[in-house]
Amino acid sequence: MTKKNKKLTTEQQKYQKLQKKRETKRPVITNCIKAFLVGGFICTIGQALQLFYIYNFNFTQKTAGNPTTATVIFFAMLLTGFGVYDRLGQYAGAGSAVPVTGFGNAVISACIEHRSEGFVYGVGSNMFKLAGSVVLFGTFSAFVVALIRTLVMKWGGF
Amino acid sequence: MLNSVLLLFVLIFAGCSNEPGSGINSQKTLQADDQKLLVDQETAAKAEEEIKNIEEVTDVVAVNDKKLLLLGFKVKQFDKFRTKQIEKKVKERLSKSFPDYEITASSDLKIFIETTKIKNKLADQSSKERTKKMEKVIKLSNEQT
Amino acid sequence: MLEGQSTWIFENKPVIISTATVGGPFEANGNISDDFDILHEDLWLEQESYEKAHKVLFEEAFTKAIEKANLTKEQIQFILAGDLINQITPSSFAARTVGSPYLGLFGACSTSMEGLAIGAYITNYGGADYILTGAASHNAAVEKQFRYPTEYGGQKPPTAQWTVTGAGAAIIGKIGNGPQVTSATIGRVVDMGLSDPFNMGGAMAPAAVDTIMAHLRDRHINPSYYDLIVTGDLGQIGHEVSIDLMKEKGLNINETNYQDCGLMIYRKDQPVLAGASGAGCSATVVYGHLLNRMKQGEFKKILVVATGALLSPLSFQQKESIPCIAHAVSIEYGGE
Repeated sequence: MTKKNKKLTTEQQKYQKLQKKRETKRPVITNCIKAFLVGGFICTIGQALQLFYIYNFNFTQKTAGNPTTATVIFFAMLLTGFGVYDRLGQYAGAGSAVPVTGFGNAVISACIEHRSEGFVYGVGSNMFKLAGSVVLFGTFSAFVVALIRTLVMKWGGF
Repeated sequence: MLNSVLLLFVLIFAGCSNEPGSGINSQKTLQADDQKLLVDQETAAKAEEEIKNIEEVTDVVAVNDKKLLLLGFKVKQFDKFRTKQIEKKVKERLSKSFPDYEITASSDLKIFIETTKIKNKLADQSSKERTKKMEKVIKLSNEQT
Repeated sequence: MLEGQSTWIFENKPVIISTATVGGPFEANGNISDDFDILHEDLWLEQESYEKAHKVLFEEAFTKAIEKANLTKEQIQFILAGDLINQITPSSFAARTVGSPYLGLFGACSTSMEGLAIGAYITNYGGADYILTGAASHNAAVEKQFRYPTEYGGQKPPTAQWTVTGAGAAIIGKIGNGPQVTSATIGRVVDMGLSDPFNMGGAMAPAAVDTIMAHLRDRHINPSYYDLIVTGDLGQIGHEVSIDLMKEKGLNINETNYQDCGLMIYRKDQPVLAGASGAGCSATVVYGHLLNRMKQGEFKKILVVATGALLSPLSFQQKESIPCIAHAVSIEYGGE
């Protein structure tokens, strides 16, 4: 914080303090509760779908994750295409962004947006504009964690 | 605001409640057991008794034929973190008690359901059909994706 | 004539002989929908892309303004226009349709007054008989470029603003009936180190105050000289901060006569968070609503201070702060 302030002049710092007073603060607690309820609801639907696939099809608990995720993303695609998901996102914040539906929405919204530039340069190049970081850093951190675990297990003699 | 916080706590603690239905389930399988206790299911019955004694297991169901023993079990909610260890324990106990059988034990819900289905239809199938069904379920339990 | 440091006084009083405003669905549902010449039900305007629709907004505003002035395209000397899209392509493509010599402008959301100021200057000194000036923005096209895909479910904070889908155009002439452009102050870039692209009002307020004070100082007048001082798109936060800032600097501003276009264009129950923004905001509100009220006699002298945030998506990612600018133009009608 102090490093940032060093680069600002006194006048700038004074103004920023003045501005801070008028800045509407995000209602964090209300946002958290809304996110909790919406995110939980989405996950409940996911759980219901998973049980549906286990009971009615030849999926085990281990393998039922795949069709469940696919179905949930399909619903996210419908909601995004119908212009509903962004309104849900404004209400729920992380509650709709964190579950896999949020990832689906990020990819699908980018696809829809860039269709005007064609399929190769538009859709193809831009579809992972938002989700690309998730894929990259998710894979990388999984690698790092797996490496750490292997080393710990080996040296810990577990 | 306070109401929302209270609601939040209520929901969190609601998720921590224990399953009330498990006791009744085991009653059902025991009854089916009593009624259809065929001689060649002795191994399965013994296996069920033995595994039921493990503390973390809430429900068990097993069927066997001449060479195969298929057992499905359910784990207590909070012990589900250690499912792998519990599965290992179950398999070890079973292989010690029944060295002549090829043992398949799984905590997977699907395996439990399918094994229960086979058990409930024991009287209506020939032993060949039973073996075929058991092999199918065993194959299912080995699927990775 | 140059007065003071950065203000032009237009002794020949160029006249705004006609205006035209075009709006989208949100504006049609908004507070001042009656003051729009053309309103559209959706954002596509029967085009294949939002950027093409953006161009159509301009074309319609230009054509309508020329029609209302009883002129032909050939009589327009110069077009001075701009918008927020990369390389200001919608303005350029619309200028292609009109066909007159074209000067593209970039002042972000302050473009409307930048165009009016320069256009009035050229006309005042006989450099043109008729000048067409305007600014426009399109919500979806701007969101796509500056922020996230339109359908992305990201949550905007309460300080964020809603980009107007609209175009405002005006024709300035040497003589005629209508509101007169009497002076203009060109603003300088002001940067108070704020870097949140979701809080542009807070970043732009100092620029607005700087230009207002420069204008009043150069012309040796008080804020009470004007019946209304209106900023372009400071929004709720920027508007309040600018009042605080002016009080701090000892400027006696009457809050009833100090308003913001971004707070006028939409109704309270529309989900626009802190207010409207965009190059089309000040253009549509001033060239439609405010000039109408002026012509009905409500105001005799107004000062329009259009504010712009001169950032790009790249500058933000490179951790730059947001430099802002504000241009002021005074418009008078009906009596001294």
